Amino acid sequence: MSEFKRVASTGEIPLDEMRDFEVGPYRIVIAHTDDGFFAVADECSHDAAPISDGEIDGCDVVCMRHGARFDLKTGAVKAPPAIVPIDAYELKVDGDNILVRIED
Amino acid sequence: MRNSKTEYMIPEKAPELQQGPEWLKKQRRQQRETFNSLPLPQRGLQLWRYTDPARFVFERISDDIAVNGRFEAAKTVEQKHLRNGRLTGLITDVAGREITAHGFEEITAGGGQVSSLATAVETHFALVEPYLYSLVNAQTGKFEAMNGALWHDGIFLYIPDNLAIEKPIHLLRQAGGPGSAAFPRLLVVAGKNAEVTLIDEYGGGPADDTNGAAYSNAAVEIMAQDDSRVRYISLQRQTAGTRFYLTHRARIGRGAQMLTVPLAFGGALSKQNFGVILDGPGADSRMYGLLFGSRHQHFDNHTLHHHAAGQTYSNINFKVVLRDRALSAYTGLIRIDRAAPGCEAYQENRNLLLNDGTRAETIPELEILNEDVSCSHGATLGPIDPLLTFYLGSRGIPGPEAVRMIVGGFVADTLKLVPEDIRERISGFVDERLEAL
Repeated sequence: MSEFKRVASTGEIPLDEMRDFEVGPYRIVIAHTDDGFFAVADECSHDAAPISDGEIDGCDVVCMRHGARFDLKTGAVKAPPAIVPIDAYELKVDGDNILVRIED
Repeated sequence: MRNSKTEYMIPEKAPELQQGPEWLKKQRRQQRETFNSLPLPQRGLQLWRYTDPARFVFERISDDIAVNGRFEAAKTVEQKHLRNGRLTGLITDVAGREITAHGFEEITAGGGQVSSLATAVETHFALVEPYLYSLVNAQTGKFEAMNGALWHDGIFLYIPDNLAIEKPIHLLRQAGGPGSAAFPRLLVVAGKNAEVTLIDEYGGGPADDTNGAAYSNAAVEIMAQDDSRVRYISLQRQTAGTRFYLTHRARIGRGAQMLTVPLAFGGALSKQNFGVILDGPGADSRMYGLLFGSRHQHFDNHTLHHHAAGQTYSNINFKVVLRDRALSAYTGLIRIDRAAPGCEAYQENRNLLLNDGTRAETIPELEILNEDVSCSHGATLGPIDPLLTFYLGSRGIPGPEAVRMIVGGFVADTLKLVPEDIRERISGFVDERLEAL
């Protein structure tokens, strides 16, 4: 079972910034890019560093610890040392609300 | 759901800071100052690599210590064991606040002491003051400082020299209600050539965290003096509405034997740190642990064997079984000091993942400063070999039963290492988890 849950409001996350949230057992990061808002797991698959401490570069996020790069839309690896993708969550904006589909 | 950057500070007027004799108040104030001045550990680094420390920070504390039916049922069972002579004593601990002891005539008749810690700090200064905070304190870390400042009541056990207690002592601890925070504390002093077995069971808590999780931050200090034999079984079977943090440290002297059996079954989020300091030649420490995780349970376990003296022996065997979306992170450190030649230290962590979506992380660490030692470590993780289930299926054993058999065999290797009398005591709890697979 999975359903959309409200996690934040759009005003909480300025353009080109990220915020981390605890949603049930998950730690997620919501990024605000020119292409919109995206939600991924807040843990680098290489060395477990918080993704939310990294930097947004276009529609990628770059981990601050070793420079691994992930696609914010899909979680796919764009640059090593990570080799395993991170989870990407379906997100929608409803008015001012950011909703993320989270598995129960 | 919330952003993680909030942080709790212990107020100067917290009632626990005014509790106890003057020397204790001073200690509590120091623990509070350290807690408030230390930053939250950085997520993603060292022992916080896989667990967010912010999940152990709360924004409010409820005083709800309502006892639930499950706790009463467990108490009834243990009281029956006590009446039937299977236990030396039973202590109930409700959310680190209400401590009640049952039995213990054998210990008190032998010159030992069993009491609430809040009583012992007043009545047994000479036995308590040298040891309280000696192993788990503000220097250990921020959350340990939190327990050190805020523990309300705890358990104190003193077993005098040469007194051997054959039957186990059961400590039955109950978590609080939704939004509550408990700070259980245990201090055990085993004299020279003393012998004791403790089963430290953490249970209870709300069914889920809909109205807030119940938080427990526990500290265990065990002083095992020369030639003593201490067996400590830690049984974590709290509900899915709890967050559990435990720091355990034991210091064992010359020729002392310590057996630690961590059994991690319950809680939504559980971070446990078990450590033994081998402080005299001939000291011997063994840890045989089991972990069963299911649903979204998150476990983060650490073990430490610190060889501070030469000619000491340690061995760890830690088994993990995960299903659904459960996660286990295990970090095991063996440290051998420069002045500790002739040590032997072994460590093994094996993880069985029953489906996709589970996750196990294992980080064995060796910090060895002496060349004249013998050490090894090993770790494995993987799914059940499909050939095994295929074979059992071909013999008419259906899938779920085959899985239970295979998992039973996987953990049996570790259980075999545990002395028979303890194995009998814990097998029911292990079977309960096996049946749920």
